[in-house]
Amino acid sequence: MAVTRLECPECGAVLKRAEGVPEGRKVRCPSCSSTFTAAADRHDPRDDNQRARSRRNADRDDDYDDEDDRPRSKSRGKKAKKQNPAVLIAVPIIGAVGLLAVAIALYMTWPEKDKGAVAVNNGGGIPAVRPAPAPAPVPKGGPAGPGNAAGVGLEIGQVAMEIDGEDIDGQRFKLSDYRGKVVVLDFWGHW
Amino acid sequence: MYGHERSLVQRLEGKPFALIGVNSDSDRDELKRVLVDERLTWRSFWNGGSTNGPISRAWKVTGWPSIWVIDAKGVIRYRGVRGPAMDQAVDTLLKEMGAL
Repeated sequence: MAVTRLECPECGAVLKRAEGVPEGRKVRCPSCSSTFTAAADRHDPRDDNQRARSRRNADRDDDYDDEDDRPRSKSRGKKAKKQNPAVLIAVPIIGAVGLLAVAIALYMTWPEKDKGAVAVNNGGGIPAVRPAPAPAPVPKGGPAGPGNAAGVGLEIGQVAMEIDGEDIDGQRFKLSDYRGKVVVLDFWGHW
Repeated sequence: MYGHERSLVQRLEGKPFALIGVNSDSDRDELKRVLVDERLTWRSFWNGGSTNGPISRAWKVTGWPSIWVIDAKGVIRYRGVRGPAMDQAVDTLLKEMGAL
């Protein structure tokens, strides 16, 4: 009688041979390399059921990687337990340090840009309603003296910031066109 | 509504004085009708059709109307003067330059 299902008495590995192994033949277990005699397995009568149940394991059994699987899964479990806490701590720390670095970089670059923009505006800020092809320089004069950026601005005693824009009809003119006259500048609206 | 400005401009006609507006209305054509109806003769900058326009932003104006009085050298001398105080401020500066 040919045996299709063999169980190694040494390591318990289950070996299957569809073609069958003659009863009494010596078989070398591919799993633990021990030699045993093929004998009718007590599960043989229920082989069909067994096969159906262990279909998922059939491949593993045929490939003889039973031995490999078990230690691997064990070591995997150990590694996971050892690595996870370290990873859980390290990743947020690295992330936080990275975010902090980005935040510092932004903080250091933005205010400088703002300061630069304000400085330019104070120096010769020409608010134009439409971009002027060649903005006229702010006419110098007044008690502040030419070239003194602090002398141009919006405070009492400062030379008024230039206005270079257009009137209601779209005609361009400047506040400094009225130099030599007392000017009442009236921000208004008909509402 | 614009009576005080109108009388100031009329009173100082021929003097080294100018009333300059910065208008923040949204409708230019409607504003042109207002200028005719109200006999507003002074020139105004167009603030881009909004109170948040480029000129009022640059001048940090957040309340309307906002009055600034600038002397003949271009120096800001008074802010927020309205009514009789505006007339007085203008007269002071004109006297300063011997024009009144």
